Amino acid sequence: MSEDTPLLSIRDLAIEIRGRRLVDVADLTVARGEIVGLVGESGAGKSLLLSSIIGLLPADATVLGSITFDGIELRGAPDRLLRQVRGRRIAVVLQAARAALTPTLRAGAWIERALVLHRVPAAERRARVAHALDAVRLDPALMSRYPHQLSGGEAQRVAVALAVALRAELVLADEATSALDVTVQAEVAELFRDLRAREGTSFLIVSHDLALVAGLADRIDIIADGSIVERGGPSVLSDPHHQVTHDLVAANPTLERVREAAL
Amino acid sequence: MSGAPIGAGAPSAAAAAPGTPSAGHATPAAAPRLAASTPDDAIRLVARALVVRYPGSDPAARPALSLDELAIAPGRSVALVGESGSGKTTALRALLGVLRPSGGGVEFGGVALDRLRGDALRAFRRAVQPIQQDTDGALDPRQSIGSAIAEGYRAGGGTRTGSPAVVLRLLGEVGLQASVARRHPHEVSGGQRQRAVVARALAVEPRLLLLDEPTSGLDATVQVRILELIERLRVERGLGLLLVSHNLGVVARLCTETVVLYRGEVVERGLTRGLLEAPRHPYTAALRRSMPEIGVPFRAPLMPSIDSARIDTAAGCRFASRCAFAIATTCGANQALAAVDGDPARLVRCGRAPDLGVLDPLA
Repeated sequence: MSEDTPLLSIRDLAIEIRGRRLVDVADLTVARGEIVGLVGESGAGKSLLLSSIIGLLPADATVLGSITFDGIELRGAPDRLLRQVRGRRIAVVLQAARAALTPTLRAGAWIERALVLHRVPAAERRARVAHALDAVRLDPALMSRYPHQLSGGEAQRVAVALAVALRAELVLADEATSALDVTVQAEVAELFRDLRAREGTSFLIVSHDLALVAGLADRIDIIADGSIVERGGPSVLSDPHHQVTHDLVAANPTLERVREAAL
Repeated sequence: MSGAPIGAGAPSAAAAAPGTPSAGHATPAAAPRLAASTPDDAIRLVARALVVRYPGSDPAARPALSLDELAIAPGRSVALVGESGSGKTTALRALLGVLRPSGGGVEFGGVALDRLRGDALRAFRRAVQPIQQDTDGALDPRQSIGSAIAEGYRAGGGTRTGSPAVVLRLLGEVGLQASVARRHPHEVSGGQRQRAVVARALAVEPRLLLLDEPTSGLDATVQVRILELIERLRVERGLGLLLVSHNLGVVARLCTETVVLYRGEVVERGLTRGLLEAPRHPYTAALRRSMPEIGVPFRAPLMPSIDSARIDTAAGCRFASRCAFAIATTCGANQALAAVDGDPARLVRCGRAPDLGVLDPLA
């Protein structure tokens, strides 16, 4: 692939469930090393769009259009092909990271098992895990803990560490920080930026938190009723054109706004 | 006082306020009742020298929560902020009387909560209403929203015949349509459910609302409408608020006073505005920095100082292991909560506060 071809490219994507069109997106791309934010409210279609990338839509969903990852068409791809991409080249980090871990496996064993399933040679595994733990700044001592013995932020780091160990090129983060304390959320956001800088990882960050995405993403897409209604750099938020963007900006109870109101 | 007939209470600001959607529904039966006419000093809820230890914890270790003093009264709005495990929900549960403290206690109208009996206990339960984050659990799934509100009204001494009018008035007051009364909790959105929970709490004419993360999990545009609702009710009804939240934007919006908790201890307290704009404790500054804001570039979290690793947080400052300003000589010892800037209401638990001065919350 040439350098300027986007890593992820979505064209004319339509997702219908029981005759209702829930997602209708003309185009959405993520370049290599880019952090793209997808922001919208509950029911806007964010998670549906994300699920379509990894082929995990409900069975009664119809998908039209094209989703290519590194030139590979993922829409309608056979499971065999999807399995090679999903989890390995495209990692998914969800809100409930602790639930993504297996409750009966220690964190280290969970990562180890995923590496085995993705056929990482045994000789490489130890070095890859060590590198990943270093990249996400996780204490190796935590690898002997079970998920219930990890804090929310630690579990989130374990999930991201697996993505690093598998050398994922694209991380899909679905409300990955919204259940965390603000201080821990800031640490995870810092981790994403750090991974992009050091590993060149791309991110598609789906969130309802406009302020978080604005501080993290290179580009922001605002989604409402299944369609992208506004797009641009973080500066798009200082001069929103679409009513939905305007409402989202206005709804943010930021301290600056509170201060302005108080003056 | 609880023996007074329904409708004998002074008309509240809510029923009298012009422009209130419910004003037209205010029949005698629907008019606010007893608690609203009780003098404010009888409504004071005060925690003193509160200590909470969990069963089986090391008695020599520091407790899960220690709180010298915390008072809520009608017209006051106090926020408890801090991250998971800081003790904010524990404090709220002690104030509600559902958690028995290991030391110190909570008083309502000058009487210890565990000594309240009869009418005094009923007055406490009516005046102090909790509103939780988990709205699914707050309403009975088998009960319609209208009957849940009516039940709250009758539990507060309201009559069966008066309740339909009250349900309508309260639904209007929280911005819900009358048709919502027939719906069950699973048939409405999260925002509507939270409004219904507020309406049910209001049905007993409370004077103090204890809110635990009332808007987390809601969309931003829904959150802002719930905050507007709580703010309006506070002003119109002269309510007292205790808000537990980790969202400083929400805190700044609703509360004039803020108490910052870290691992069970108050690290800073004072007026919200001064505290957020000119934090004196490094943890308050870290919270402020961590909060994402549109138009403010992303700020990396604080990096601990070189000395941090050498400080025993069991004996010294609890925040030292994460503090950029920690120095072994000062922070290795336990710190006391002390007034700064000659302001007795502004307290900081940091040995370095005098030489650090005001911390730049955005740097």
